Amino acid sequence: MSLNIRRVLKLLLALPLVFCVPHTTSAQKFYPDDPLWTTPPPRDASGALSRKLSDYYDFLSNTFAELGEEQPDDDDDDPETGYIPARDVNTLGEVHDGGWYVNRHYRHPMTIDDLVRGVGDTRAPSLDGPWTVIAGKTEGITPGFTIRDSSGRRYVVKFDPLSNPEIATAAEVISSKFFHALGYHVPENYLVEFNRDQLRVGDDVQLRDSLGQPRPMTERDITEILLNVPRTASGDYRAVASLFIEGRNLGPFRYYGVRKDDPNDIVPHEHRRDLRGLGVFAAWLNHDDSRSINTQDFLATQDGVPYVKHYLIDFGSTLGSASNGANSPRSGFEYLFTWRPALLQTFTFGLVVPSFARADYPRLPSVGRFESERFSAESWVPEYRNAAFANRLPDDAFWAAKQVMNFSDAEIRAIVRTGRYSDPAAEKWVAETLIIRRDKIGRAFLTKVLPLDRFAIRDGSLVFEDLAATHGLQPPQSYSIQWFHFDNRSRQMTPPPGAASFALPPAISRATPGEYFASKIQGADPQRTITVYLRKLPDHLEVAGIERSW
Amino acid sequence: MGGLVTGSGFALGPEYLRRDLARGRLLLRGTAQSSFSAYQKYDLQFSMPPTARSRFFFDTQAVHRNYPGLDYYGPGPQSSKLSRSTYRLEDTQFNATAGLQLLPQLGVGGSFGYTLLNAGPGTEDDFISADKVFTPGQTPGIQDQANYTRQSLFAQYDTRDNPGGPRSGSNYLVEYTFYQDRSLGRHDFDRLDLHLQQYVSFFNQRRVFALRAHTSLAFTDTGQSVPFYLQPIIGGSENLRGYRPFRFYDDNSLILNAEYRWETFSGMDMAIFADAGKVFHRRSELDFSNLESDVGFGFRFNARNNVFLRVDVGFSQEGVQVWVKFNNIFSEGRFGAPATQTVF
Repeated sequence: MSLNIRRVLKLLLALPLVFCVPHTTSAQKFYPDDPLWTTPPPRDASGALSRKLSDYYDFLSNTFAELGEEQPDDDDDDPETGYIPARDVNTLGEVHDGGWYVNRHYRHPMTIDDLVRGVGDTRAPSLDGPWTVIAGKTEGITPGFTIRDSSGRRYVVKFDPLSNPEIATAAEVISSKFFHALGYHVPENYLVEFNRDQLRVGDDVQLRDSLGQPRPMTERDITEILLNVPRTASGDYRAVASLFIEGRNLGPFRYYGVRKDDPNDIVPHEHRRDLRGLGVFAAWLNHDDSRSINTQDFLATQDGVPYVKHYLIDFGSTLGSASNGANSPRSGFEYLFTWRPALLQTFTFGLVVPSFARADYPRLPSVGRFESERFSAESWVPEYRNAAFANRLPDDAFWAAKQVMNFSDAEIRAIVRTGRYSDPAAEKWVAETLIIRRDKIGRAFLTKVLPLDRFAIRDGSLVFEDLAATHGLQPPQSYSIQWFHFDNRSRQMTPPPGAASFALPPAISRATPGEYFASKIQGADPQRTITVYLRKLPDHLEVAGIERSW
Repeated sequence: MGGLVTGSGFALGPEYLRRDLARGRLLLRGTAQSSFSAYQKYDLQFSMPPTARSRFFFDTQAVHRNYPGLDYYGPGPQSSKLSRSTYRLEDTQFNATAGLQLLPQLGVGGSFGYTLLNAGPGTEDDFISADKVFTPGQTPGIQDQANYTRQSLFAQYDTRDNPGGPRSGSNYLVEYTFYQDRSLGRHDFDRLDLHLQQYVSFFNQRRVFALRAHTSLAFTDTGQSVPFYLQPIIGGSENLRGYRPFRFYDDNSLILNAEYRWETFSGMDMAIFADAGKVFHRRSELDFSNLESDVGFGFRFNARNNVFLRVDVGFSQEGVQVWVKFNNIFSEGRFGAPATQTVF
């Protein structure tokens, strides 16, 4: 009797543990339409409101507060604490096409003409008639204004600083083409050259003076602005004309949280792969100004449904440019403020010289400070903390790095040429620096996980591309493979249906449509694996999903 | 807010500013400031500021100041810290300056001014009035006041990379000024000001040596003297930072400053500095002997590379001085600027 009581007690004590067992059987892993490459049709977001963001608030809040949901610390001993993977990806780990992002050059290789064209090249401001200045430029630190050309299109016109002709305009054009090819929504930016007679002030245009008081804009104001910008050898003014983006401007997006007024914005931004990976792209292009203030949401329409489309804007502070001059040597190496380096400098009287202070830069005013020798892909930082960049995991970095590595030398040179540097040495320096930085990014991030991608079934075998070998980062490696039958509902893997080679096991060819298989690929490091999930269809096999571990 | 002489206390006042005159070419500005210690300044300025490509500039200004308690320790380098007294400086100035930018780095110009001046008893309760301690023989101008006309010629060669927070380049200025005593005929004199700044940077401009030398030399005929309120003054936040403001007065002065600055984070540089300087009665005493000196450290806060606030702590044999200033050290602008003394 007593024995039975003990058994009952044991069962009662064990009962809560039953409820603690992960509910791995609650949902199937793959659905028939996986992998999804586009976001679902948007829900009506017409209620989204325009909002502004204070530059200073953004700096202070991101510098002194930890915004967004952070990854757990590396030294967290809790085995139950897992890293937070990106949540805006399909079962292959790729980002959906949608309001945030569109897969472009990596998935659908673009020609050099496509890359050079960027988001568009047919809507440059018309020189057939005068440009009417309709507003002063109030955002940013470079001089400029808003114009309407003779065809009625509106542009924001931005200039270079007197000290560094071409620096900001070239950076703006070059980087917008890279970011477009990398998948982001960017405005159409055109390099233009014009003379003073091209401009006239529109009716009732108001300008705010230095005290913020409105007053009528005059022709003299235009002249004053032009007095503070450089002229070309022919005496013209060189500028970037950025075509107004269609739709209602909703203000910048943040790199954490969601827009509560956007029903389609369901993934916290710090957990978006397209924003986590953006940190790698920003490192490549030295976009240290990659912060909310240089983003913009617009209300666009898809099949008659208003939705929020997210843009990156204002690339004048990329490459070696700070828009109003050459970049600070600190750019990309340290935040504007962090306690530790600041205290170190304070108490050592500056005798500890940071690495960035020793970097060598060319004497190229149109380039500014842009280098590759001391550039570190892994430690590059923007001006201040970015919640999405800080949450980047190795698979996020791999997703970005493979896209950076996808640009050939010739493609990089062609895009840099669109900056129209008058000094060939400047063009050469920027292109070569980007090539070296690209390779550093590849070396840093491709091999943090197994560098295998583009999985497919061909000739009865599972094939893939070894990106590290393709890009010459390391010699081809040998990989082992283990096959499993995979139960999509229970998520159980049952070994082994066949041999340990990349040829498909016979069990797969005998399988019925709807069955799933998994192949676990491993290299020399057992921690780094890729599990490739295959789905049997009536007439072929397809790759349904990929999981990476590191 | 602010803008009065060191020691005047917290000051407030309205400002009227128009930048849109003549399509933005002209500037009209009027201010009225008063401190809680009853220091007052009224200023009206009408000018055509230099622009990026304009070669000509001019500036006219009328200013009235009433400073009831400026410090005076007696004449010359031997004055004692314990002999602190005060005097009232009340003046009204009319000034006009015009210049031409011959090269982007080189400007020349001239200035004309008329000053109605009253130096009277100080009103500080804690210190004796200067006129009760010092005689006209020791301190010219202590008992009687005069009005002055002033003409000057100046040239400036400026290659600083960013005048608001320079890290490289130089700024050399020379000005020769003629003062005529229109009331008493006893205080006619000329003054030569030489001012050199050099900025030497290294480690990508994250480390800077900032050097300055300034001398002011007076030329007087027999029977003429420089009134004490127009003498060069050293001591205070702009030159000898380990000494009290207005510590030393005399006909001539020499100031040497050296700073080593290093960037601690993007918005702040720290500095350690050494200052040396002296006042002297005869120009032949212009040398590096008998210099007063101090050392110290400071913080320079900047926004977009322009210093907007600095805190300096200076240590000298006369004690410790802490300065909080909303300007950059060595921030002298174009010469010919109207002022009886730049420290005012």
